[in-house]
Amino acid sequence: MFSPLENWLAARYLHIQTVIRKKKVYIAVTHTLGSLLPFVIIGSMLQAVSRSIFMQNGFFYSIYHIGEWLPAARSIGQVMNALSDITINFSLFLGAFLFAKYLARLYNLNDGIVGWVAMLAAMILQVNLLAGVSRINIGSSLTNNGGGVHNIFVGLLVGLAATQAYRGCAWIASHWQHAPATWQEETFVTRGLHAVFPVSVVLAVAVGLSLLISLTGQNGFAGLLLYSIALPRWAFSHAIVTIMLITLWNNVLNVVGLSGPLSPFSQLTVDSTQSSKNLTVALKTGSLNNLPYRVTFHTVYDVYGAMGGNGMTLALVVAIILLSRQPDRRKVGWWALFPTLMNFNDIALVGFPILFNPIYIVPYLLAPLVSMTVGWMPLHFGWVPPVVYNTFNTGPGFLTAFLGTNGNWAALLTSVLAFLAGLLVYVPFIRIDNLAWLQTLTGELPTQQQEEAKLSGEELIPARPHPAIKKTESY
Amino acid sequence: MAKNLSPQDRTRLLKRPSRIKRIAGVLVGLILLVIISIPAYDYQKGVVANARVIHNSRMAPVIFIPGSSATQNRFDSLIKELNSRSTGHSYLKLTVHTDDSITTTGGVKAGDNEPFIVVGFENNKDGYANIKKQARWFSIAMKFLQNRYRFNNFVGIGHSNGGLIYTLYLEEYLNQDDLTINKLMTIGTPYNLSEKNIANRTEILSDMIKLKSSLPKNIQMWSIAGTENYSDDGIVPVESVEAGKYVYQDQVRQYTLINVTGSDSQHSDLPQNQEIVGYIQQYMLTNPNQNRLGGNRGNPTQPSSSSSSSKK
Repeated sequence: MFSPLENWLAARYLHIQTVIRKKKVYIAVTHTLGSLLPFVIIGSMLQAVSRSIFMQNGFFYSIYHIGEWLPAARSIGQVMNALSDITINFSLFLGAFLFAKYLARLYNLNDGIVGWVAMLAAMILQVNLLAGVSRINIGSSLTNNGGGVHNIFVGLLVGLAATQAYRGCAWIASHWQHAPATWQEETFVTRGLHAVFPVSVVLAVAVGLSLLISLTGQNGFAGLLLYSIALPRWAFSHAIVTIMLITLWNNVLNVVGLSGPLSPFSQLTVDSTQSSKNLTVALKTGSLNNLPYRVTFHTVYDVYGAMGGNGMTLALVVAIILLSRQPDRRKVGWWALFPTLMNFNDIALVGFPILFNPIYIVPYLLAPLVSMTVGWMPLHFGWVPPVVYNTFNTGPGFLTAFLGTNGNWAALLTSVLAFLAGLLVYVPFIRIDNLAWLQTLTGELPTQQQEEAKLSGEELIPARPHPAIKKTESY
Repeated sequence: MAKNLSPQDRTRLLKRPSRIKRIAGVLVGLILLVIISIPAYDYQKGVVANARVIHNSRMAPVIFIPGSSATQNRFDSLIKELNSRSTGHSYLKLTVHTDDSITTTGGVKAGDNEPFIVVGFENNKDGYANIKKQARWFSIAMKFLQNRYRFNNFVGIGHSNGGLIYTLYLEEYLNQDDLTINKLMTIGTPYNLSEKNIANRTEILSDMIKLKSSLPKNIQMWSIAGTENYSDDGIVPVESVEAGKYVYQDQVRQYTLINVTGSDSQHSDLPQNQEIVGYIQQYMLTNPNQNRLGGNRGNPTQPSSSSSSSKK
């Protein structure tokens, strides 16, 4: 059933699973992503619908001329966009809260207090204190590179730091705060009293760091972090090797929850001098045969390497729907299908998940490189013209080449081949994922719940006593 | 957690959907794809064809708006003057009616890159409410012209209230992604209506100032004031013309105020004033001596700047 390569990969993966399922951080991350999912599904759906159907230059807005027969379209789009701002674009803060909460539980701390203090710390770190608190616009600092869940690493980092700081302070405090001698002395107030010292320390440290960040002039902690890893402008030369390396670097950042330099929604790749020179020549001569720049970020990465968002996520979603045997994965796949067709990959990042998930990190990095190679070869040899005309940034990725060349069939064929190549990269990993799931069910692989119980004395989310058919979730 | 899976459980869990289901799913997916691909392809064809026409059209018309109570024929003598040394600039006149319909006289000859176009209004009455309506009618006329002649940049000249219509149009209607205004000249335009005291800002002036940030940043702008005596051109106080600086200065690339005195500097004569004709030729026209028939029959006209005082 499995090829030798798949067998080797499966063995490695199952080993990794047995190790990481015992790690507190990994357990807390999986729970965080799980609890984040409803907000991400709702927010991502709203984003995809509003940007493609109700906003100018959206795919459906344009092709069905929606603005002409639905004058209220843009107002509807703005309302939906605002709603998506407070769901999905809030995930940095939500991530800090949930991660600290689950981590606190594994350390047997008060999860409510720790979660909330982590969220406050994350908010303080995003605020420019020097500009005056009245000028705070938390929303604007969250939409770096398309917002969404793409900067959740920052939230997780703050959550981790806040939890550990809280834990340390609580330990110090326990030496001079007298724990109640008997249970009769303990009231609901006791734990609140004990939390005053650690909470104030965490908040004070956050305010101090935030002041230092304000001095740098960057857009909060997230802005500073992104600034410090940003590549210099000269690095973006339009040579195929550079394109591959920068795409790889970008996707490495993605899988740990940071936004890299590239995104289907950034204009960086579209607005290059090379692109505009290509466009001028194409408009003048009316043909795509003698364009000055065949290989650019736009003609290779945008068109063949980012179908469904970074990492060829559309290929993953289709592959999951076709091949995955896990009901949860398939359901997430169906939810993710429409947003991914419109190039929003947030549901896939959080739902399968791709973030911090060793099984999908490898193909996420590999698939765009393979697809870009498939797209680059005919471009290089001149069999297929490069994309020159402006297209929609929402809309199915495999149509971009066809539309951007004004209907070149060879370009359509190439992008279908590139898509299939991406799909093939994902297939073996989905089969291994199926195997791991089956082994967990049969008990060959320890379940995460067992490990949680060993760590904290209880399962974070209690398992059902019996395979229940219908029972309300207590969480 | 179920620990011991029976072989039946295993096969049930690993069961794939039936073949018919899978084939049906793929078919439905392909049909949906075709349904969205065809209009997308259609739309893109249209966009590219349009982009080609616009890119390859070098037309930049000069578009005139007359003042209140004047018709589309207001600029006839000015245009006769401008065309006196050449026959090159074609002359098109539009009237926008109160029901948004448009009638035209004259036309643009093929290959003319700098035609003169006058946009007049059936309702050409004075007053802020009417000027607002006229700005909207002007935007309709511009859409009509753009659709017919496919230009993406133009030069504007407004006489009297025509300058106010231009300002309102630029602030509220112009889509800067679509159309660029290179230069604008307003002649005797009362930015503060008939108010002499600059401290008393009329409603229209304060509205224009409120929206000034939406003016295109790249305009070169000339505002010409006529002065018969020391205070006005017979109708418009010079302070009212000067009030234009509160709208345009530091908003657009260049704002120049020019004072014209001497003969023909009465408000209604301004469009025929030789000074002003000279300024239009010098500043506004790319090819003042354009001659469709070939050969240059006239000499370049230099404006006589004897009796004018200009400040920048």
